[in-house]
Amino acid sequence: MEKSDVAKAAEGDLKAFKKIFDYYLPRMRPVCLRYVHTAFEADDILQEAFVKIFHNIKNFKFEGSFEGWVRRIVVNTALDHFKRNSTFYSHLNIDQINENETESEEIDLSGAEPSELILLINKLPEGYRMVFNLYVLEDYSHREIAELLGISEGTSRSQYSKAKNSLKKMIVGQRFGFKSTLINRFNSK
Amino acid sequence: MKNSKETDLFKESMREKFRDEYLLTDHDHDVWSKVYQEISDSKSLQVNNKFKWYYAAAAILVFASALTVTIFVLKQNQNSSTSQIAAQTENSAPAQSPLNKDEIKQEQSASESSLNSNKKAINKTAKPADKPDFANGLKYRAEEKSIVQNLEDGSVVTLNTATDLKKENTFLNNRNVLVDGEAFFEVSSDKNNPFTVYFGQYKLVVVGTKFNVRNRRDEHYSEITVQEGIVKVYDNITADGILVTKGQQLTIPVEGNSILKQVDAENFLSWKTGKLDFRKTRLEDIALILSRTKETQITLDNNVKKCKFTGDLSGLSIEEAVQVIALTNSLKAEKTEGKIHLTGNSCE
Repeated sequence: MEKSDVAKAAEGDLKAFKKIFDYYLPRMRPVCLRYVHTAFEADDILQEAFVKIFHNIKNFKFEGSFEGWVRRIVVNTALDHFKRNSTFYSHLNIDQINENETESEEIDLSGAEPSELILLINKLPEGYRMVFNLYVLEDYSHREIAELLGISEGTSRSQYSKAKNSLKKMIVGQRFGFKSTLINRFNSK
Repeated sequence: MKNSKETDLFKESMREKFRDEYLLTDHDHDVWSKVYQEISDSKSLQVNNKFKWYYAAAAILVFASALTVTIFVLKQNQNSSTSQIAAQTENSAPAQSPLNKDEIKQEQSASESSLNSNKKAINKTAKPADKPDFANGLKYRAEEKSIVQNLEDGSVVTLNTATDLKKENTFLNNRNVLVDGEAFFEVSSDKNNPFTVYFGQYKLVVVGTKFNVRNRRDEHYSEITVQEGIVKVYDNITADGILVTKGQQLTIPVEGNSILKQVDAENFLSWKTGKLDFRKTRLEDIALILSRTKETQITLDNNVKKCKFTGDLSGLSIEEAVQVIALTNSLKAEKTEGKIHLTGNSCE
C-alpha cells in the first residue's frame, strides 16, 4: 500500500480510501472469520472496522506497518463483537484452574492444509479459540491478551496450552483416523 | 525451558500456515457500500454544521446591518429604508456561497469516485420506474435455518434456507425488495404504495397479499405461488403482466412461455410449515415438493404424472413417503444413487 494513499485518505479522500479498502478487505476477511461463525457476522465486523479505519486514519503516525495497524483495528472490532455476543466470561471463570496437563508429542504440520486447520480451530471452545487466535496468529503476548479480554495472564496461558493440546489431538486423530473419545466428541457436535 | 521452546515451534509453524491469506467474496461490494454510506453520512454531517455556522454568521451580519440601517433610517427618511436593507442582504450573501460551493464540489467528487452515490438513490426515489439499486440496501440472509423477518412497513417475510433478501435504502418510500432463493411474503396492505419483489430478471407487484416466490439459482425456472389475494407478475414477455390469484401458481421457465395452473398453495409452503398433507394432489406436484424438502430427487413416468394422491406424509422419511404413494397408486419405485423413479399404469 502506498504511503501517499494513506496520507490522502487521512485528508478525507474517498478515492484513496477505496484503494486501501480494496487492498485490505480480502486480507482482513480471513483474520475476521477466525473470530466468528458466519460470513454474515464477518461482513458486519469488517464494515464497522473500515469505518473506524477511515475516521482514525489521520491518527496513523507512519510508525510501524500500516497493515499491522489495520489488522489491530479489525481484531479489536472482532473482539468487541465477541464480547457483546458471547458467554465467554462465564466459561473462563469456571475454567481457570491451571491443570498439570501432559504435553502431547510434537507434531509436524507440514502436510496440513490451512483450510483443514481452520476447521479444527473453529471446533475449539470459544475461550480457547480466542486466546489461540490472539496468541498464535496475531502474535499478542499473554499480557496483552489478558488486557484485551479482561482476564488474568495465567488464564490466558492455561487457555492457550489447552487449546494447543486439543488441536494437536485433533490433528493427530484426523491424520491417523484415531477413534479417540475426544474426536468422537467433536464429530458428534 | 523445554516447554516454551516447544510452544514457539508449534506457534511458528502455525503462523507459517496462515501467512498471506487472501479471500475475495461476492459480497465484498456490499461491505463497501455500507462503509461508504456511513462515512459519507458523517461527511455530509460536517458540511451541514459548516452550513449552519455560515448561515448564523450571515444572519448576524444581516441583522446587524439591518439594525444599523433602521436606526439610520429612523433618524433620516423612512422611504429609502427597504432598498438599503435589500442591498445589504445581497452583499452578505456572496460571503457564504463560495465556501458552500467548495464543500458541495468536494462532496460531488467524492460521490463520483464511488460506484454508489447518494445522489443516485435520490434520483431513484423521484423516478420509481428506474431499476432500483439494492447494493446500498440492507441484506438479510438465511443460511442453514429459515428466518422470519419483519419489515418496517408491517410486512413479514419468511426466508427459506440459502436465501438472500435485499431491501432498497428507500424501502419505506417504494417498498422494493430483491429475492435470491425462496421466500414467503405476507405483505401489509397499502394501495397507494405497491410492494415490488424483484427476482432474477423478473418482478412482481402486489398491494397486500400472501405469496411464495421461489427463484433458486440452480433451477431453470422461477415460481410464484399465491396463497391469498392477487399478484401481478412481469415475466418480460407479457407486457401488461400476468395476474396470479389465490390458489394459482405461475412457473416462468428460462426459455418459453410462463405456465399458470391451479395448485394447493399450502403444499408449496411445506418448507415453512413442515406439513405435507395432500388432497387429490397430482403426483408431479408431490414429486416436486418431496424432492425439495427431502433432498432426494423423485422422478415420474409421464403416464403417472397426472395421477392423484390424498394423504398426510408429514414427518415421514423419503422412503416411507414414497412407499405410501407407491402402494396407494400401485406404482413401482426404483431407487438408484439418491434418486427415486416411479413407474406404473396410467390413471386416466
